[in-house]
Amino acid sequence: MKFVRTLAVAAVLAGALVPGAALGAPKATVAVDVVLASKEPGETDPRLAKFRMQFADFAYKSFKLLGSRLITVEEKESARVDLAGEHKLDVTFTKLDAKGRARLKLSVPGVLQTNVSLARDGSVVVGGPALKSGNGVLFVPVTLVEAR
Amino acid sequence: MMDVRSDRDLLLTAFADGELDEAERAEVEALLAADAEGALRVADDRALSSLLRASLEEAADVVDFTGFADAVLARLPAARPPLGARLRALFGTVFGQRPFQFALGAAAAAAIAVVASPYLRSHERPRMLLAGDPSLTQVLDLDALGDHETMLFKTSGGATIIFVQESP
Repeated sequence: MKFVRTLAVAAVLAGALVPGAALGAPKATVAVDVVLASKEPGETDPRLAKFRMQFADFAYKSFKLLGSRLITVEEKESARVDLAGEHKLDVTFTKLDAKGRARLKLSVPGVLQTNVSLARDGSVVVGGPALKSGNGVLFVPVTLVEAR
Repeated sequence: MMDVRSDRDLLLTAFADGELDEAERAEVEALLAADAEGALRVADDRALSSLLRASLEEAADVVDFTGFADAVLARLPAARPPLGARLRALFGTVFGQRPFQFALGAAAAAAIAVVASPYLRSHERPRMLLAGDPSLTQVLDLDALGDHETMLFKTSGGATIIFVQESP
């Protein structure tokens, strides 16, 4: 009885200590932020200050963070994120390489698709998809938060 | 006969040293009431014992025992108990007294960790956007779809940007 009890406690402790991701297929946690760039003057979110500096030459006057999503995708699986308007982003976690970098396939249907390799905290910005309403274009930073 | 004598001597010595329990002591006292030689022997033993104790205490008084215990401990080799023993020492009280409560607490902590981790991770995210180390990002291939065209460039700050626009 004592042995069984000890075993049960050990199992609970092990469950608490072992990361869940280590028990199954590799998973990638990806942050997707959706930024609307507009040529209309307006306030810019402080978190987007670098956008304003970087894209000043593109005549974009204001940047607004429309939303942020944190998604977790298993290897070989995809997740879809609604961006804005009719635009969507499909994120497919294709592979976790030996150096811990995640290979992601990013696709904006009808617009572009790309394969990228991101280390942790690595980021790629998909910019330019225009809203049909004519109220600006989207910039979508995609950041690898974690992959294991 | 020799054995009987030895047993009697041992019994009297133990009586003189106060090592008998109450029943044994009463029995010996009854015997000594009728045994003058035995009573004399007990008196001699007690006198000798007192003298010996006094002599040893006098000898001990002139010895300085300051730091004696520390000196002995310092001579002992440092011993690191095995991991199992250390874990038992750490969790022994909890396991021993409330094992099920401990198991329930551990299970609750695990459940909270599982439920809360997505929220905790979301707060760990870097919020300053368009920052980045270019070595962390590699674009392997890039295809424009439909009537779009793409450009790939890196900002002076190191951010990797794929810019897409409709073909003129």
